Amino acid sequence: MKKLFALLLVLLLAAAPALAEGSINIYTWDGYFDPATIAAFTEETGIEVNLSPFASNEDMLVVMQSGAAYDIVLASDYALNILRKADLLQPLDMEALTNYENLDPSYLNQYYDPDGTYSIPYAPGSPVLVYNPELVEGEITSFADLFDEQFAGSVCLLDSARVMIGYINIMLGHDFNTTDDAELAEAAEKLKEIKPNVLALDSNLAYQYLLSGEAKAAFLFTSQAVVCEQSMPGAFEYVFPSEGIGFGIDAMVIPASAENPEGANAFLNYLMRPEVAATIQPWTMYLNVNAAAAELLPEGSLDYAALNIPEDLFATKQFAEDLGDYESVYQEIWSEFKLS
Amino acid sequence: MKTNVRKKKDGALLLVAPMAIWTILFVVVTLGYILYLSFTTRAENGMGVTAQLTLDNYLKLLNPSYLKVLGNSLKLAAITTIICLLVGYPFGYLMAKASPRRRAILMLLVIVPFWTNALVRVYGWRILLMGDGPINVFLQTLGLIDKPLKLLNTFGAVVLGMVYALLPFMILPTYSSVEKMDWALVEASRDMGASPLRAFVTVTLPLTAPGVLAGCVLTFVPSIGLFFMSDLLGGANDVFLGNLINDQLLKSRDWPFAAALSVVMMLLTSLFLWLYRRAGGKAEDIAAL
Repeated sequence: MKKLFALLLVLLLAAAPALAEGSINIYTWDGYFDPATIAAFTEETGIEVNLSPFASNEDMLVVMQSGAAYDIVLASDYALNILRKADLLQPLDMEALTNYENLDPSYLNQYYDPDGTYSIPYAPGSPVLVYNPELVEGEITSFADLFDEQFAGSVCLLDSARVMIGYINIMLGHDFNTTDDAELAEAAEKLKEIKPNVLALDSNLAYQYLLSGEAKAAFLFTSQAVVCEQSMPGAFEYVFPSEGIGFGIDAMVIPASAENPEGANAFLNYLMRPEVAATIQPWTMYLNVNAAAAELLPEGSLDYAALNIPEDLFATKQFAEDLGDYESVYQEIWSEFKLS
Repeated sequence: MKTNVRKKKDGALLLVAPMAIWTILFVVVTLGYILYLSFTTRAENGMGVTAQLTLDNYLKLLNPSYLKVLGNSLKLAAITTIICLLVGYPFGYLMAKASPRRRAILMLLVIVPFWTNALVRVYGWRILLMGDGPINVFLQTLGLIDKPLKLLNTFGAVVLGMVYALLPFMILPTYSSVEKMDWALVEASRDMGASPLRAFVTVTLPLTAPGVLAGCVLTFVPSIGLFFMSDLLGGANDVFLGNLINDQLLKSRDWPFAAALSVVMMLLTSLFLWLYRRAGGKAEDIAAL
């Protein structure tokens, strides 16, 4: 059965444009690369770049597991960790990656690639707590503040079991990724207390509720928060909860099945050039990973609260790691929370 | 003579072959794979499943919160179907009785929304229902309300979206059954002294029952699975079977449990189709659409 499934997938993939010499195939979300960046790379090196979009990390995992041959995959940290543990990645060619030293070391050697042999960070960020000071009494500094009665029916949380329960875990003084049953039971109880304050659980459109004034506070992903700040400057306050922060890095890897690893390494090296990297951050609107590019960034690129995590909090950052069976436990707590 | 019959049969087999291959590949194999998945265990490394067979995935369903999801789904499907029936039947009836010109226009109005992707139309509803959306602004300008009503992220919004999406599936079969009806029978009952109401209840309604039944199946069954409706219009409490399957597959990465939920959903659907056949419904009435 599995073979047949794989065969069907292979047939589907065969329909994709054939690999030519001097081309690389990149597998990632739609919209992660500025077409101008890619056009400039092709002009300089003659290497054609084909982008194949996936809808989610999980779609990507299924396709990679069935043996697809992409030269670069750009996906979230936990998904890359799954690929690494399944031996589906090949080490980067550090000799070819002469620009690697430009990268900001604070984004290197993370849990999904502890020795820094497989991945190049691309778009890191942390969810931001955004609130409307006109509608909120006092200053909000922590996740615990959202439990206050003044927020009745006016808080948007991300519809993500792992991130939101992770924040509850830190608030209770536990690990973001705890797999201790007693601690998780405590988190489930605590979670229920915030239910009366929840307006919506939404990972994509929560900013609309802020803009319309329905929500007094909302959790937003980095790039959404930047968009909010751009469209209504000064209207909202942007806070990283004082208990500690969850974090995520979208990074690039070269799969073991890559047919053009030289081309892939050349592309990665190109992206790490300071003057190229300086065009990437304004496009992705995530944190800047390239230290050498910092001063080349267009004026004001990093002048957003969502991109300036206080150093002491940055040190506490925790990733939502893949927890195997415990993924289901988190999801179960989340379903119960929704239905309570 | 004998060879002739033989030949005919061979020809028939050849004609049926594409259909058979299609059915085996896209129905039997895929459904079989889902059934198989529902008995497997999730893989340790976070990708896919291992062939260790177990019943755990089905036992998990007995968790009260999942039973509640199931109950929610049935409730939503029932409410959607009843509202579609109450709105769709009169619509289909009047459409069938309208002049040909009007009928064509009405038919066009029912069908045109299908030309736009359902997701896009649901986003349209979101904008209409927002706190600062046109509906709230309109009501506020008229002075009917002081502050915006909470329309979005409610169970009502989900029902609205469902009814909006599925209403044509009620209108079309009721319309076609009213249109096919022999009006001489109604006239006969009126001649015999039946009141219009009595004629409707004893003649029109039974004669159009197959269309109503087909319409009910066509709205009830899909409404169990339309998960994006509650994702986009529903509130934090609105979790239905479709959402649960989506979350288990994409967020928990628990394929076996997602498969078990899908099997339950298919059994539910089959149950309703079976009930439909038992009630005298014909498969053709549904397939005709």
